[in-house]
Amino acid sequence: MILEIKGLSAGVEGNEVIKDIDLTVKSGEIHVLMGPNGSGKTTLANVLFGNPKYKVLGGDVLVDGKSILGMKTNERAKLGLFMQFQNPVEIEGLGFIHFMRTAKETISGSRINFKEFMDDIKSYMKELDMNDEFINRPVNVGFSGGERKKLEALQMLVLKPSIAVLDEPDSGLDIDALKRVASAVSNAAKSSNIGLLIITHYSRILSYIKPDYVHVMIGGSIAKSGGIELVEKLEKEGYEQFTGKQ
Amino acid sequence: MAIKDMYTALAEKLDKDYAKLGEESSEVYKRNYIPLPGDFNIIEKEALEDYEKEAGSLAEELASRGLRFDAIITRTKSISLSKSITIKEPEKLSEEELMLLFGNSRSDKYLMYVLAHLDKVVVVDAENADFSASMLAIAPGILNIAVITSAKGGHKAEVLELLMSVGKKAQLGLLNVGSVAKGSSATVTAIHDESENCTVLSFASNVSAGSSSFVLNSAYLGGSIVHARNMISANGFGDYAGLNDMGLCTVRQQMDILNYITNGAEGTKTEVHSKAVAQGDSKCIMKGFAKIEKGAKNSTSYIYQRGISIDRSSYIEALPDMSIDESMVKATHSSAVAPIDENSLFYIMSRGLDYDASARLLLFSFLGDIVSRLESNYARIIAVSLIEKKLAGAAQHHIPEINAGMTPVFSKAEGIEEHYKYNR
Repeated sequence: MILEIKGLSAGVEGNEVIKDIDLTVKSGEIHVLMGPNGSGKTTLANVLFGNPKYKVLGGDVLVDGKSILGMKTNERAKLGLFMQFQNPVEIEGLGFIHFMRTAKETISGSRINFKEFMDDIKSYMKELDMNDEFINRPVNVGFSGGERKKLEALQMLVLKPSIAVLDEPDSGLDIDALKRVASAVSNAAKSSNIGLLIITHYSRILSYIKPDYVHVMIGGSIAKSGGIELVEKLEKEGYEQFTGKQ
Repeated sequence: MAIKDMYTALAEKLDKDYAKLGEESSEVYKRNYIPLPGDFNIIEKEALEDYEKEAGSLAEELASRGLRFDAIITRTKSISLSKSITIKEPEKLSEEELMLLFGNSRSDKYLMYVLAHLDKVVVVDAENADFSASMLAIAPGILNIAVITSAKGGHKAEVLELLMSVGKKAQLGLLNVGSVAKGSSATVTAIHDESENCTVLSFASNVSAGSSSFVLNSAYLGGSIVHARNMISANGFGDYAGLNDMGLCTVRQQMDILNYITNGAEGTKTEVHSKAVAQGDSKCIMKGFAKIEKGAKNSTSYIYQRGISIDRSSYIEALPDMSIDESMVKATHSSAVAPIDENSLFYIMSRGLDYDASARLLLFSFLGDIVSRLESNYARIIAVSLIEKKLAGAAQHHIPEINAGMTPVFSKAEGIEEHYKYNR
């Protein structure tokens, strides 16, 4: 799959937040999008998934050459796109297994073998060092920030998308948990040829996931793209080199 | 005086009195009151025989789908397959049973009506052992019944009621009475799946004797108008009294549900958990009233109400109220009504489900919280099946789908995720 963002501008509540973004992500590639708070990273993720709160003001988003802007969120997911939420919502009463099974069957368009499905989930949970009890709770209810991030990662592993946008997968995770989650995501990306667009403030996750491309987003636009060396520069000089603030 | 004469005298007096009474005494409740149609109790008498046949066919269909009941009740035909369930004519009740039925009779004018026109009284007695019973009641046009659930000797009684109706016009009246002796417990689950032209009159009361528990679970899914008045109390030291209910209102249905809990003794606990979903020009009023009487020290009382109003044509009102006459108590309430949560919809849709499926899943989960409070798996399966069907079809009066080979696994901790589908 090829996800192409071409000259995309979008906003929320009348304000233009992202401006003229160009970015291409292919299955199997790992991209990192870094930037300070309020630079528009999460807005970009939401626009890619058709969140109705956000309005596209210009440009296009293509999957394998076809525009997806007219598609609903669920249709984009069925194409093979996945979004890991920065702040996943709590859904009282909805069991995780019921939710995931429904999602998996909807996306695949066929009934799944429940035993195999559960075996897969348990194996991924082991990889993520998750307690069995987590999946017996309603979706995200009573979870700490780090546990929610693990549950989001688990969903990605179960649904096996072609391209996943991970919005701050590292926030709320302690060092050990970060290592586990990053390794599991990285392994899945390699074994299932998943393209990743990782949105983050910090470089620490990149100790465990090696990106092919790094992009820096400032004020709603991509200020710089490059390789891993860009991260090293950011570590030394911060975002101020792009914002002009001293 | 003979029991028959006593019943007749009481019924005649209530019948005479009820017509004179106003429908609501509280000013707040008057403003939020769903009136019953003036002709709710007038059923075409000549059609009743045909309706009886229709009710019989419905019972047979339910049996053919794998639903099993310990007792089946219609207006003229009733059968009990259990020694612990006795179906009585109202004129043949004992004095004690009459007291249980009529003790709270003046709490609502329509309760007075139901008692004055009782067709059958079902007595479930768990005197010597823990006991679980299920019953099916079908209103063939009209049916007024009372169910007395009695638990004694430290035992536990669990009763499931599935309530349905047939006929062009129908009215079903139900009074549940719990009689729970010291150290015993009773749980009654009433699933209302009446036809869309049925007026539902539903009531509950109880007596308790200390260290006992009485819980009434109600799922209001059917009927055109539901008028429910559940008034339960914890009157003995350490008693627990709980009301869990859900209302799923679609297609111009109207529900007026009052849950009234009373802490009448020291160390008691009472709770109300109500949830309602309204769509399609429907209306649901959730009234929750907690009364803590003088002397009920160290008691706790909690009213929880939540509603989701799907569209602009539907309406939900949550009205919590408390009257506290004792200072050493803990009394809280929490009520909220909102449209369906857009963030949750977006989250579910991002996993591939379309808008309608996501909304159904959210609503199902919302009500699933109450379903998970049902202790009986059989009750959960019936409730889940009916909710799923109603959400999918936006109509009412469905036949629940039951798979005889399933081994349902369901716990409060697990929510709805392990419901019967996975065990087929």
